[in-house]
This record gives sequence, C-alpha cells and structure tokens, in this order.
Amino acid sequence: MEALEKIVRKLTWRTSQLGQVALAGATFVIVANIIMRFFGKPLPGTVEIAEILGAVILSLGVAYCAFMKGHIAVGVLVDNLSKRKEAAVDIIVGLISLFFSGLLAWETLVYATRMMGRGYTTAHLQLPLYPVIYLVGFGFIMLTVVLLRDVVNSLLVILQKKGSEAE
Amino acid sequence: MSSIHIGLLSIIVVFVFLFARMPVAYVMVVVGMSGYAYLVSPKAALSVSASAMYDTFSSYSLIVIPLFVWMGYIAFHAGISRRIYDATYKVMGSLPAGLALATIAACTAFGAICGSTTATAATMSAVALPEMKRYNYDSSLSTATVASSAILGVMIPPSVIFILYGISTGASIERLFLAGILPGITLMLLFMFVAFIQAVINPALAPRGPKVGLKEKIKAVLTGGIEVIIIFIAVIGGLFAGWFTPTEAGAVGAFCTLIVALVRRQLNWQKFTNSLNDSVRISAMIMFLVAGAVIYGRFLAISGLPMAMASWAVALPLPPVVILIVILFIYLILGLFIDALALILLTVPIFYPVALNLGFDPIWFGVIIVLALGMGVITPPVGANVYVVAGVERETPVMEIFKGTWPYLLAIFTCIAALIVFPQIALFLPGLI
Repeated sequence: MEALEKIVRKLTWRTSQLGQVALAGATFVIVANIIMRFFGKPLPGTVEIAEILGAVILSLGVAYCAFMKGHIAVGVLVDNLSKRKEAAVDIIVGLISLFFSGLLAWETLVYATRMMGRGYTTAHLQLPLYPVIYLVGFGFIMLTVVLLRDVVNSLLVILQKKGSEAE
Repeated sequence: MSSIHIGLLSIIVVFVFLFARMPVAYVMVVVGMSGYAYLVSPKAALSVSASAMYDTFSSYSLIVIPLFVWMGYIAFHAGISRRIYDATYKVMGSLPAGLALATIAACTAFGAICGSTTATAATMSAVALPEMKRYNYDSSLSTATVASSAILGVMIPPSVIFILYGISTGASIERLFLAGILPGITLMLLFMFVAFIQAVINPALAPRGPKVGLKEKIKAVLTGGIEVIIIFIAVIGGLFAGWFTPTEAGAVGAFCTLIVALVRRQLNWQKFTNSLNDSVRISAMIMFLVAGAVIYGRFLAISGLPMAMASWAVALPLPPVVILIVILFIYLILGLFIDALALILLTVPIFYPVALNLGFDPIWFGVIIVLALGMGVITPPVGANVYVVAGVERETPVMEIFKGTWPYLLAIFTCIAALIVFPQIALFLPGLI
C-alpha cells in the first residue's frame, strides 16, 4: 500500500509540475501576443497554443487536486459518523466515482484515437489535436488511480477496525 | 416516468450523493452522465461527457480562470496585502474601530487583485489580526471582521464567481465585473458602519489605534496603494477600453502582479512555485466543477426541467419579487452546506431560466445571487472563511467567530434589500458601456 501511495504521490506531483509550467507559459504567450499586437505583429496561433496549454494545466491538475483532497465536498453528515461507517460510505462513493472516472478515461482515449484517425489539427498552426486529447485521457486515468487509492485506504480502515475489535 | 420527473429525481440523487461526501464535481458528472444515458443512450452519454471535458479544459475563454487564480496567488504569496493594510491602517487606525475599518478597506482593495474569498481571508488574517490583538480588540469582532470582509473580494473585479456565472449563463463578464463595483462599495460601507457602531456602543470592543500625521498618511497611501491601483487600472481599464479580452486581462493581471512582486523583491523562487502549485490545484478543482456542470446542465436541458420550472414560476399567482426572495432563501439554505463556487454551477441551469422568464435582468440577478452566496462563507456549518481565519488565529474558537459574523450578515441582507429596491446600484455602471 505504501508503494502505491508513493507512486501515486510522485506521479500526480510531477505531472502537476508540468501543469505549472503550462500555466506560466500560457500567461507569457498571451501577454507577448498583446505586446506584439501593439506593434502590429500579433503572435500567430496564440489562441490555439493557449487552448492546448489550458488542457495541459487542467488535465494534469485534476488528479493532483484529488490526491490533495482539494475537490469541494460536503462533509456535514459523514464527518459525524464513526470511523468505520465513514469508511464504508467512502468506499461506496469512491467505487461509483472510480467507475465513472474510468469510463471518462476510456471514452476520452477512444475520442483521441478517432481524432487521430481523422487527422484533426488546429486551424492556424496545423498542430495535431489528438496528443492533447490523449493527455486529458491520461489525466482521467491518474484520477482513477487516485480514487482507487482512496477506496483501498477506506477498506484498510474497516479491516483494521475489525482486527482491533477481534483482539 | 416523464423526462421532467427524471430531472426532478436527479436533484434528489444529487443531494443524496452530496451528503454522502462525494465531491460536487463528481456528483454532477455521475448524475449528469447517468441521466443522459437513461434519457438518450449510454453511448451518447459517454460521447457527450468526454467531449464536454475536453472542450472545457481546452476552452480559450475559460483559461481566464487559471490566470486570475494565479494573479491572486502571486499577490497572496508575495504578501502584497501587508502594504495595502499598512496604508489603510495609517489612514483609518485612529478612528473608533479604526483597525477593523482598515481591515475592511484593505480587503476591498485586495479584492481588486485577488478574486478568491478564502485567499483574501487567509492573507488578511495573517496581516490584520496581530495588529488588532496588539490593540486589545475583542477576538470575536476582529476575527469576524476579517472573515466577513473577505467576501468583498467577490464583488470587486476580477471575481472568479462572476466569471463562472458569466460562463454558465452567457452573460457578459465585463458587464458583471462593472455591476459588482457599486454593490461591493455599498457593502464595504455597510460593514464599516457595523464595526463603527459596535465600537461606539462598547469602545472596549475596538479601541482606537495610534494617530498618524497627514504627511505619513499620504506617503502610506502612495507606497502601499499605488501598486494595487496600477494593477487594477491595467487589468480592468484595459478590459473596458477594449484593448483586450477577459482572458487577456487575466494574463495581464498575473503578469503585472508578478512584475510588481519581483520589483518589490517579495517573490523568491519558492514563493513563485508555491503560487503556481496552488493555482494549478485550485484551477483544476474549479474547471472540473465547470465541466461537471456542463454535463449535468446538458442532461437537465434534455429533461426539460429548467423550462418547466420557469413556466411554472411565471404562472404562480405571486409577484416576481416574492419568487426572487424564495430563490434567495434557497440559496441561503444551500449556501450553509455547499461551497459558493460549486453551488453557482449546480443551480444556475435551474434558476437562470426562471429569472429570465420573470423578466429579471441577468446581470442584476447574478450580482444578487453572488451576494446571497457570500453569506454561506461566514455561516455554520460550512463557513469556509471562518475556518480559514480560525486556522490562522487558533486561540479563538470557531463558534466565537461565527457569533461575531451576525452583524455582518445583517449588513449583507441590507445590501441585498437595497439592490432589490434600487437595481440601479448594480446596473448603473454596466449601463455606461
């Protein structure tokens, strides 16, 4: 379990760092375009580059946010349950989330493959779109792994409680 | 079961999942996809959801959110709030409740470069609370003042909540930004009145701070306030002058704040990477919510529920203002449990068509509901701002902070009432463009 935790932490952290570089990059590209526009020479394809960088920021940030428990949730009821009941609710919720996240990952990868087959590119710079869509799919795969980690953690809470009660 | 019934049932399922602590974004994805699969087909649901995710993540107009979030986090990590507070402190500190007044004014000014209430609450807690403690301010009053004043940031542009409302409804983000300014200033004055009156009734609650000469006041304003004014004019001025789009305004805002922080030598490498790290995490959280809301919104649209509710609301034998009050009451109750960002995305697809059918101005309606949602961040049990302040000021129990927020809640009620009676408070500035 510790190995899984370590791998997931490292993977989400390193990929979120790529997202950080993309955020700084998007800012500088957009500002550079504004400055160049004043001189009558706007940067070609700024919108396309910013869109691609936006997809990088967010697809790589979603799993990291989930790992850091950053997604907004309402804990009013579950927070007041016993640790074991809380873990049981978390397992059910986690499995449902995991299933849908897995479906999204799968469908996004299928969508990317379809776009690759059709040869879709951006309008100005003719950049292929499928690698970005694959990246979004990869983001959902990471999210699914993070959710799996949460389910396993909740399962361990139940098993440990059971063990301590048996003793 | 008709599609409208399915839509209604989905709302119940949403609440079941929400109270089972499923993150709000996942709830909208799960319920939206399931509903779409039931009403159309599982294949269509998958296809619509995957493309909604990609389209949201790679939307040029939505990149404005990470950019404005980064702008706020640069200001947060660089400690720009410190000099803003020094300026307001020197100008107002010697008045009754002077340090509280200075905190309220500083939160408003900080809101001009930071669109997040929690970031404002965190940064102003660290800056203002030690000073108020030094002058023996009542801990309930001082902490509640910081938690409540941080709300002012959502009214003063740039505001992430207004951006989300604009994206969800198609309302102009520029007009929403303008519409928030006068209600924001009105609320600031009401908050100041609340703090001032408490100090006049019981001076021991908020003793006067030190007196400062006029020369020093002017110097403090020029050194502490000038950078905020420059950034605000560059971002908002450029936006309204038509020099750039909202997305470009976000990039200019982040860039200018970065330059100011570097010139002031307030941003080292660690703080810079921390600002990026926080921004990616928060932006991903918001954008996943937006994508979830798109999926849930598409399902609601094909269920026909929003239109049915809108027709039903218009047919009710009640004046529109009563229906508005009912909607605001629903927001108030939901805001007690659900974060404002999530709530606006979750509910706008339902209430926005109702508001339009009742003849409400979309900009005015947006300002009113954002203000109503502001109450949620200082009311128990969720009250995000209160927990942020309590995290910084550990000696003050959370319930004591909640107790101190009541007068500020009354001020928000008053502001909402004023907006209902005088819509021009919100609509005057947008009317100029």
